[in-house]
Amino acid sequence: MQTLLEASTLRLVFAGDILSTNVAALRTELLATLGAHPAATHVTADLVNARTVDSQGINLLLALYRESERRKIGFRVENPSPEIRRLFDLLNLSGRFGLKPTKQP
Amino acid sequence: MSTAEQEMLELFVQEAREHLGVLESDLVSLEANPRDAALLNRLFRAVHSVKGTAGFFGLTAITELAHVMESVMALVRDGRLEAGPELINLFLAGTDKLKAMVASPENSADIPSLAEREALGAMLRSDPPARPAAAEKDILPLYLRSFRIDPELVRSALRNGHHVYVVQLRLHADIEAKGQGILDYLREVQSLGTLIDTATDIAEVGGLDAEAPADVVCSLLFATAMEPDLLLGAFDLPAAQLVQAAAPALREWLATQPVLGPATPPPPPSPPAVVAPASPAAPAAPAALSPPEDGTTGTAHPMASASRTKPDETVRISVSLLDALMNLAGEMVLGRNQLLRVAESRREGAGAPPEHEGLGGIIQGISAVTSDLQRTIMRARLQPVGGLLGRFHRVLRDLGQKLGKEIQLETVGDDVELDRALIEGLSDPLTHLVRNAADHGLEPREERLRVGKPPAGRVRISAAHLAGRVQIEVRDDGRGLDPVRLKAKAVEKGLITADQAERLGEAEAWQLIFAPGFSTAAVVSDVSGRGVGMDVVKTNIERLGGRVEIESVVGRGTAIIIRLPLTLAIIPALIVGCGDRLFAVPQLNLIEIVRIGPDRPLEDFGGSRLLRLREELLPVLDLSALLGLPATEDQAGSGYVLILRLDRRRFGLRVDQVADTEEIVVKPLGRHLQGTTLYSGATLLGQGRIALILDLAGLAAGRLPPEPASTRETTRASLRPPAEQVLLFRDGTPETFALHIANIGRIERLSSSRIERIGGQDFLRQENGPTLRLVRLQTHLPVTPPGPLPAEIHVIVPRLVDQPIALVAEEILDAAELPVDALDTSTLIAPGVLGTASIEGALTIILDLYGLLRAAGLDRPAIPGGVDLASRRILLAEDTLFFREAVRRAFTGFVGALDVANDGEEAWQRLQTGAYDVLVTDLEMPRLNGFELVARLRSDPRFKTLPVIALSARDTPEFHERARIAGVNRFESKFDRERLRRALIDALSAPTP
Repeated sequence: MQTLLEASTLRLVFAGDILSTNVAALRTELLATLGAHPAATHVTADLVNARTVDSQGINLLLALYRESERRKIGFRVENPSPEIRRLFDLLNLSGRFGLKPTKQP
Repeated sequence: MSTAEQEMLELFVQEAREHLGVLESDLVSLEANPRDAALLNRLFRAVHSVKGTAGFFGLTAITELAHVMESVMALVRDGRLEAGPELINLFLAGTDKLKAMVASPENSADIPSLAEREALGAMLRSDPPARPAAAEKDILPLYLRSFRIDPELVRSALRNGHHVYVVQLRLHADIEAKGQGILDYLREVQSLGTLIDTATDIAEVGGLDAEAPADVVCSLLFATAMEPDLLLGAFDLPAAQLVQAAAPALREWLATQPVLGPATPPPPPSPPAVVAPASPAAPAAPAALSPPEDGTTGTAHPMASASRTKPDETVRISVSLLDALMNLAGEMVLGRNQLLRVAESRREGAGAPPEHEGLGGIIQGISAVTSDLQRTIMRARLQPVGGLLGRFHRVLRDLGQKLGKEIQLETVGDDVELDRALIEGLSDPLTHLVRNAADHGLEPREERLRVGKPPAGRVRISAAHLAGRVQIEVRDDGRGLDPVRLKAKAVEKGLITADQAERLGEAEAWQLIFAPGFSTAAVVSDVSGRGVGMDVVKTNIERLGGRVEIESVVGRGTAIIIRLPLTLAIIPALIVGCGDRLFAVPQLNLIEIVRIGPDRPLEDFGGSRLLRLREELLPVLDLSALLGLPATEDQAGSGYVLILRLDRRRFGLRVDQVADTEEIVVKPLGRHLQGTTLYSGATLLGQGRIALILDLAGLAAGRLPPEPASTRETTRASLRPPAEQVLLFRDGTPETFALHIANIGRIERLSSSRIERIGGQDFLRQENGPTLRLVRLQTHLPVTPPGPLPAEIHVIVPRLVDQPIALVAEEILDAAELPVDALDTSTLIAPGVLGTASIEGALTIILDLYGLLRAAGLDRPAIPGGVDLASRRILLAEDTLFFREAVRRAFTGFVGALDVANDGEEAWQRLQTGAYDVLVTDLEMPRLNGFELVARLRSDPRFKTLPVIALSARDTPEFHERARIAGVNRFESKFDRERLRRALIDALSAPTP
C-alpha cells in the first residue's frame, strides 16, 4: 500500500484487490499508517489498483470508515472499479464512502 | 398471530433472554474494566440485537428502550462517556426493564419504561449531538425504517399482488461460504423480483483494532410474487432471516405518501432499480453518534448470534419439540421394558418355539438402542449452567452495594451441562444460598481486615460432573459456621434442648441451619430473608432428587454442596406393592430392604412403629395406612420395610410386596392429583400397569416421630459408615462371592453366546469400548468347579483397574452390607480372597480384586520407583478391619514394614516411639480422627514435614480441601491401589522440605 500525504489528506493507495487473504496485514498497516499521521484531517482510500473486494474487504473499508469516525477525521473512497462500484451501490455503501450513487438503467 | 409468527416470536424471546443474560454479567464486568473494548463491543452487539429483532415484531417499547441504551453504549464505546457505577446502574435498570418486557412481549407496551429512557436520555443530552435527532413521525413499521423506500415501487408491488420482504444476508456466511460471489448473488436476487432498497448494518463493524472482525450484515427490502418458502429456497437462507412486511401496515404508510402522477406500470422484473429518492423516509431515531445520511443502522439481524458459530453445525430446536422427543423416548423405554418382560416370561414358561430362536439377541439389540436413544435425547436437553451462574454477578454486585461489602464472585464450570428442568429448579435455591453467603457468611470489610483477610470477600460458585451426578457448590471465605453459636441459637429458639445440643457433633450442628425458622444473623435483613429460606432451599433441592451438604471451617468459610441427578426425566426405581396397587420408590433414597416376619417383627414404642436394625431403632411408616388403603391382616408382622434416606435421617417404609427394579419414565401427575404431597409423578410399568411415584419428603413430612436420642447417637457414630456395601453373586458354584461396590463399574446381562473363546481365554467384544477379557472365578480360586454356562449370564466390569476385564457371574444375588469388623481373614487364605464373612446367614467369600487379577496373571508389574522401598517404614491408621486388610495387601511386598494403628490416637502414640517414613491415615476414625491427627502432627516440630497420605471412601472436593487445610500432602481413594502405590512412591521420592 502506498501512502501519500496531500496537504492534510492522507491518501492510501491499495496495491491490489482487498480480500480475506490480505486484510489482516492491511489492518495492521492501516493502523500503523494512521498512527504515523496524527495531523491528517481526511483519509482517502484509493482503490485504483483493485479490481474486486470480498466481504472481508468490505469489512476492512467499513472498519477504516469507523476508525476515521473515531478519530474525527473525514473519509472517502476513490477510483473504485466498475465491479466494486456496483457492489457498493447495491449494498448502499456508496454514500457512506463519499461516492455519488449511480442510477441503474 | 399465525403459528409461524408465534414460533418466530418465541425464537425472539429465547434469543433476547440470552442476550440480556450476557448483558447483565458483562455490565458488571464493565464496571471493573471500563475500557475493555471487547466487552464494550459485546455489550453493544447484545443490546443492538435485542433492539433489531424486537423491531421486526413491532415491539416498540422494547425497541425504544434498547435504542437509547445502545446510543449511550455507543458513547461509552467511543470514549465519550465514562462507564462509572452510576451509568452501570442505569444500564442495569434498563436491562431489568427489558427483561420484564421480553418475558411478556405481548404486554411489553404496558410496562412503563419512561423513567429508564429519560435517565439514559439525559446521558445522551450531556454529550454534544453529532446531528439533530430526527423525529419519528411516520407510521412505517420500525423494521422498515432503516430503508429509504420509494413509495411508488411499494405501491406497484402491492397492486400486483406481490409480497414485500426484509431479507437478512450475512455476506460471508450466507454467500461466500457457499461458494458464491456477492455481486453474482445479488444479481440473482434481482432476477427474482424488485430490490427496493438495501441497508448495510455497520453497527457490529468495529474499528481497525477489532479482534475478530464480524461478518457484514446487509438487509434487502425486496418485492416479489414468490411465497416465503419458495423465496427461502431460492436465497438458500434459514427462515429466521426472512420477514414478510405486513401489507396493511404498508398500505397505511402509503396513504400518507404523495402519489406521483398516474399509477406506474409494474417495473420489469430485471434489472430493477436501486432507488435513492430525494427525500428519504425518516430513519430510526438516531443516537448522538448515529451515522448520517442514509440511516443504515438499526436493522435487525436475528442471526447475529448464530454468525459466531458455523451455521451447519448447530440448529435451534424449540423446547416443546425436545420435550416431545423426550416423551417419545420415554414411551420407547416403556415399550422396551414391556418387551423384556414378555421375553422373560416366555423364557420362564414352556420355552420358545424354534422359529423364535435368536429373538433374545434381537430384543437385547433393541434394548441397547433404546437406552442409547434415550441418553442421546437427554443430552440434547442439557444446557450449560453458565447462564444461571452468570446472573449472580449482578446479584452480588447489588448486594455488595446494599450491604456495604466488597464481594468478588468467581464462577467455575460454566460449561457443565444440566437438564433444563433442573436449571430452572436450581435458580431459586441457588439465589438464596448466594445471598446467604454474602449476607451471613462474609464479614464486613473492617472485620476482615482485623482478622488478616483481604478486604474483598470471595464467593465461588462451581459446577462439576462427579460420578454421574452434578455437583454445584457455593463457597465463601467468610466466618464459617460456628457449631457452638449454632447450637446456642437452636436452644434459644427452642428447636432443641440444651441436653440435645450437648450431644450434637460438628456436622450435625451445621445441619441446624436447615431447621425451619433458624437464622444466625444477628440482624434479620431483607437480603437473605428472615430465617425461612434454608429449609426451603433444602426441600427444593430434595424435590429435584438432590442432596445438600455442608462443609465449614470457623474463620475460613463455608461451602454448601448440592448434588443433583443429571436429569429428572428417567430414574431408576424400586416397584413396590400395597394391596393390589403398585408404587415406585426412587432408588436414590433406598438404602436396603428388610423382610419382616415373626422372627423380625416391628416394635411399638410410644405410639410409633420401630424396626430394630443392627442395634439401631428406626421409625417405620406404613404405606397402606398413609394412603388409607384397606389394612392387611397383620401389617406389623409381614411384608417388607424399605430403609430410606432423606438427607441424614433414615426411616423405614412398610410395604406388602417388593416387585422389581425398573428404569421408570416420570410423567407429571394429572390435575386432580397435583394438590397431594404424597406423589411426585406417575409412570407406566413394563407390565402395562400404572404406578404412582412416591414423594418421600412429602410422605415423611410431619409424620416421623421426634428423633430419639439413642437413634441420634447411633447416627453420630454412623457418620463413619458402620458397614461396607458389597455386591453378592454366584458363578455357577455353591459359593457366594462379595465384591466391594466401589470396585464395580457396571453390571451387564447378556447372552452367553456372545462370549468368544480365543487361545483358551474368554473375551467379550463391546460396541463402544475395548474387548473385555472375562475372568472366571473358579479358574483362579479354590472353589467347586461349575457346570456349563447358562444361556444368559452377567458380567461385572470393575472400576479402578487399568485392564479391560470383567468377572463372570451367573447369578447376581443382592447388594448387602458387610459389617466392617466381621471380616475373617483366617478361614480361607488364597490369592484373590480378602477373607470370609457371614452375610445374610451365608458364608461369603470377600474378593480381593487386585489379588484376583494377580492370580489371573493380569496384574501390572509393580511400579519401579527408583526409590528404596524395602527399607521404608509406613504407619497406617485405619479403624476398620476391612480397609486395614485391603490397604495392607496393597502395600504387601511393596514396602519394607507396615505398622497398623486402629485409630488416630493409637497412631499418635506409635509415632512417639517409632520412626516412620510416611503416615497413611483414614480420615474418619473414632477417638482422634484423621483431620485432628494431622493438625496435631503439623503443630509439632518433629512431624511438621512427615509425608501424610489421607485415605477416604468419600472422595469429594470438600474432603480434599479439609484434608489440605489440615496439612495432608496427598488425598487418595481407599479403593484405588495403583494410585495409592504411586502416592507412596511420590511421597518417598519428594525432597524433604
